Amino acid sequence: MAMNDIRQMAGRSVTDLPAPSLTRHRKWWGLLFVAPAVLFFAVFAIFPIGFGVYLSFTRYDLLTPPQWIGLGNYTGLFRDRAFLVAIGNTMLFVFGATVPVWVLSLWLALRFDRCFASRNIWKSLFFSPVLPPLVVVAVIWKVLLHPNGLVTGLVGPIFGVTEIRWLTDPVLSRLVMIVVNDWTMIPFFSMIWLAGLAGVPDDLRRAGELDGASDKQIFFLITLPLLKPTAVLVAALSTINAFQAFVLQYEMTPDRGGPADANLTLGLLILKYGFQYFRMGEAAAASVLLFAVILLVTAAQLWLGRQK
Amino acid sequence: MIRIDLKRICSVAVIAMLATPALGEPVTIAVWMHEHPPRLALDEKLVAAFEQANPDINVDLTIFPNAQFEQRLQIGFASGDGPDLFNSGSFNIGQYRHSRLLAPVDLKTVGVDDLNELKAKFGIGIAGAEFDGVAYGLPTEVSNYACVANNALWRTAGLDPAKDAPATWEEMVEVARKLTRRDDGNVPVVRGFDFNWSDPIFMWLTFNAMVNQLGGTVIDEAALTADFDSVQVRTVMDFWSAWANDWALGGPQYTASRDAFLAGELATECTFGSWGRDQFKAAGIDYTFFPVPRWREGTVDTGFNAYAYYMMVNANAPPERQEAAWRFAAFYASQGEALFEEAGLFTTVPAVQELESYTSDGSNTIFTDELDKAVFSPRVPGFNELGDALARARDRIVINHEDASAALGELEAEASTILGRF
Repeated sequence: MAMNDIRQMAGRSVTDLPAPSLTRHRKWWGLLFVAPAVLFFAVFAIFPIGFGVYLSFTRYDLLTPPQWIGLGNYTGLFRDRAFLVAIGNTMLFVFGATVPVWVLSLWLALRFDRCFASRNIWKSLFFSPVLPPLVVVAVIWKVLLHPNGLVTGLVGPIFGVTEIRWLTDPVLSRLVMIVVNDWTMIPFFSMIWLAGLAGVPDDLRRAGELDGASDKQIFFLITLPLLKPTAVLVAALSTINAFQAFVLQYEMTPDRGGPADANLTLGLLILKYGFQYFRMGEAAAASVLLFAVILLVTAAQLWLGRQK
Repeated sequence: MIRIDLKRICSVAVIAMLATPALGEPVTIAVWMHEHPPRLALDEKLVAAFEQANPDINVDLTIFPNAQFEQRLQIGFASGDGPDLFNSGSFNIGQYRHSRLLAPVDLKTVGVDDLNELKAKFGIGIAGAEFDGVAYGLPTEVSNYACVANNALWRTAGLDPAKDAPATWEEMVEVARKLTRRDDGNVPVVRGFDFNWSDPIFMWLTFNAMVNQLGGTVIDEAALTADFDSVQVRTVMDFWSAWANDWALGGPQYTASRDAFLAGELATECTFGSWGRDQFKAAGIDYTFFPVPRWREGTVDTGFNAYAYYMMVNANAPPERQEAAWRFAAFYASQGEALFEEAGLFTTVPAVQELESYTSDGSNTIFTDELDKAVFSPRVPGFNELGDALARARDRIVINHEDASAALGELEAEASTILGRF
């Protein structure tokens, strides 16, 4: 063997050697296996999103072909009274459906993280609001909140009244939407906090105790920092959920979003634009804006979660 | 010299072959209807009878749940996969006509020479689908409202519906006061009468009619203009507001009027049609119908607005399917007797009013007399948005106690913007 040939062979790495055909075409096989999932995602997620964005630049009533109008829908939305009202209502709801939920669900999780008598029974009771679908929750609360119903029967005597307009008073109905939402969401997020708490090593808390740290110090300096990934998850999920508020307002309020649009959220307005007002272009534009806002807020929360 | 373009001739021939069914091959028409359980068995029977009499036509009938029907229909139109024939309420007829989705009734196929003959054949129900002398649908259910009294609750208050039924809205206040029973906190436990506050459509059918009774019109169908800032609208809105606030006889906070009537919590309700009888019987309510009140100073003798369901043909369907669709529509809409007796649906086909089952119940004449005076409404594009705007203005005035002039002025501006899109 010539010296040159030996030098050449010695210089070849393992990957340079001829490989079996399966290994040689590995990346193509990989693509083939993921293709159905990618195709499914493209057809049922990417395409509708892209088509929705396209529709947002058109005048489209569902019944006749769309006509390109550029940014007309976007500029029109910010002159539309209903859209501006819906933004205000949605922001209020988002605030009421996030901050109290974060605090109360964490507080509930901390209570259940400790051992006490009949803990599992109480846990089951507290978490039961998570089980029924939101539509069922809405219907049950609607019955309970009849102006002369059970809740009025309990609360009314305190204020000396026999009738409370829970759902037809503009201020009260907004509060009711938040309370009912939080009633069903707090147990759900408590479960997530509990899962997070299970990952906090007891040793660290015990070490804190041995060093004379108070409960408050242990919580703020040990437990809470270790719950940061859970906190980001809770914040992101609850915010996305709140921005998409729809079911409670649709089922419980008069005229679906009333009275006088007091509970008209962006989600409800998008439905009305699209399938009641025949303004699918505006519905698509409002959806794109809502999508962008949710994306930005969630990205900001994730970014904040990564900061030390 | 004539040059024969063989390629073009072949292309046209292929297109023609594809577009028209082969000789003797039946035409299949897609028919979409909303679910009305008492009618379903009759639908099957009528389709079978029609196909037997018309072997050249297949009817592909699809029934959708009532709540989803319009949405499915709109998605069908949007995707180009809509029906050839559909049975839809008159509420969206203005929108569909504006979008050029409705084919005019094919008079020849239906077997009449002109619109007058069509009206003679199908009755006043045609009026709801007629625009500028052209009909766009054949009625399969015509509905209008009358007031219905719960006899037991009236008797408890010392009243007799046959003698004491109010003829005017002003009298309705007094009658409702007598019928209303309150708890210690002055909250009505049984309401004497209440408006149907539950959905903008009821607001439209009742509120708009009360404006009509005073000689007003909130929407000009032909010119597509709105007039909500009028004396008549203000009078009716003030009455609704006083009903809920000053007289405390009802309001949007209570159980919706139809549900409350069936639960025995409301002595009088005025948004039931003749089809409500089965529900009253099921609820064990002994009832009496009477006409919708008028205003003491009213100028137009009309009850609440009327509406109807029509067989309408998709203008985008191929011509042979449109013709087949009109044949089936004419057959179906002519079955007024069967629709009335087997499904409880009233149509204005003249033969219905000669049925023993119709004449034996005297209250039927209340509905037909009222129908002769009724206005079919709403029939304008953008109706759903207009209805929401009207309900919102009502809530601002009745619930939020905002200044009525300002709210109605803004309503008119909003309505003009909505109508301005068409």
